[in-house]
Amino acid sequence: MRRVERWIFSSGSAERLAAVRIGLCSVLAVRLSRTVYVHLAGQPRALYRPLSFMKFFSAMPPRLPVLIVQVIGVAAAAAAAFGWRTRATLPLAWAAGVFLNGMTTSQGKVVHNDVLLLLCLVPLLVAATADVWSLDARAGRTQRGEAFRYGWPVNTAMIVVAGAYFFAGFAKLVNSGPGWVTGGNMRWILYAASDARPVPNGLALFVADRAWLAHIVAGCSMLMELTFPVVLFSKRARPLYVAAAAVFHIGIWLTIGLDYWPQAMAAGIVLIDWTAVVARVRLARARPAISPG
Amino acid sequence: MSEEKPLAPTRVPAWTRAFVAVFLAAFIVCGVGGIELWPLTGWRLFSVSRQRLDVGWSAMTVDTRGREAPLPLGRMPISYRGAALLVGRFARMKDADREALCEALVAGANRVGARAVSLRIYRVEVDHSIRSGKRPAAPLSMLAYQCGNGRVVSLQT
Repeated sequence: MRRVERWIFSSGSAERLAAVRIGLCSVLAVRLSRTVYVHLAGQPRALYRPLSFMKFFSAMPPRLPVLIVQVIGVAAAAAAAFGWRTRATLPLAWAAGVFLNGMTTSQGKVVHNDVLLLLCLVPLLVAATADVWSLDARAGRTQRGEAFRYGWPVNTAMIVVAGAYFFAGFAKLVNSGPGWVTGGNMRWILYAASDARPVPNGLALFVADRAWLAHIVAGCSMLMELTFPVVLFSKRARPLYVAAAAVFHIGIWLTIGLDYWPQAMAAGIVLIDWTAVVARVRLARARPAISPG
Repeated sequence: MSEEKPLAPTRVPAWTRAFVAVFLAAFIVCGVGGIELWPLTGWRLFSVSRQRLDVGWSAMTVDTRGREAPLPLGRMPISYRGAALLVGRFARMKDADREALCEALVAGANRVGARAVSLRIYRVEVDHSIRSGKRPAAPLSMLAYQCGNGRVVSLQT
């Protein structure tokens, strides 16, 4: 436990934390600009199935307040991405995101599409995310501090990403056991997804028609999910798992039609050290200029 | 946890440590226990194994002449997106909730051009292992409920 605590609160880079802020807030701004929330606001009361804090509302909130929250949310998320008054705009954007996505998850089914994004933003709510690469820093409202301020928000978000995938695999093991992989489960999921569409889905049927392929897909999915915490121990494994998660979510989108790009983006933004990537690209570009001959 | 950098544990404020501890504890408890406290979640996505035999529910609108047509969910507003799930829970609903849902669906269908006066809800059994080309072989449908004008009739045996 002591080791875990030391790792979480180890020092970090202000630039990396700023990159995570920019990435996550940009994705949040894009997500909050969808029209789905305003459309849901007109929902008949009989279809409302609130979850969690949405039980405080007896029906979907009315259109005008939803639109106001949405406009504020998008503006706040964009401002937080630019690092303008981040201590206020980031929590405001997050609160708007939780409220609006609380609406989408109150239709009779838990909606997970934006959950990882929102959870990764939690540690950033109280962190010094705008000490560099921000309008706040340019205006002199913030300044670079000591390294201990920047490590824990990124490390906490990494635990959340690893946990999200691990717990998804864990739930499969608990609720279905190895049969999730060894049984016909994946075939029936894919057949059902294709059969529910007006036009059959060729890729879903291609996998479902081949039992061996469906077992491989199910096995790889569960293996990736259960071993995802490796990213916490191995820096080298992170790009591999980010790529695997991207393939996983693209596959789900193409076969089942579920759009999980915010989750894939959140994983990539948090797990990849984008400042190191940029530095490496710059170095690679500079190399030919200094090479002899 | 291999990349430990120089530490300054005493300098991270106690409230920050407490905040992280409480957040991660809640995240882990929900994950391990499958608890839904949205946005904290049990991550139970597709965790229950699907079976070859799939029992679902299908809603049809009925016009004044008794003609049936599928509930036009695809043309209805996004706010009706959850209707397909709710129809599947019809059996577990109270009478008042069934009536309200039925009225809302009839009204929603009529708003996009259907001329519905009532709704019929069928229990549909699909065996995914029996295929007819790219589609399942004919599903077995049984009328389970008819509702409209503030009345719900259960036709299940």
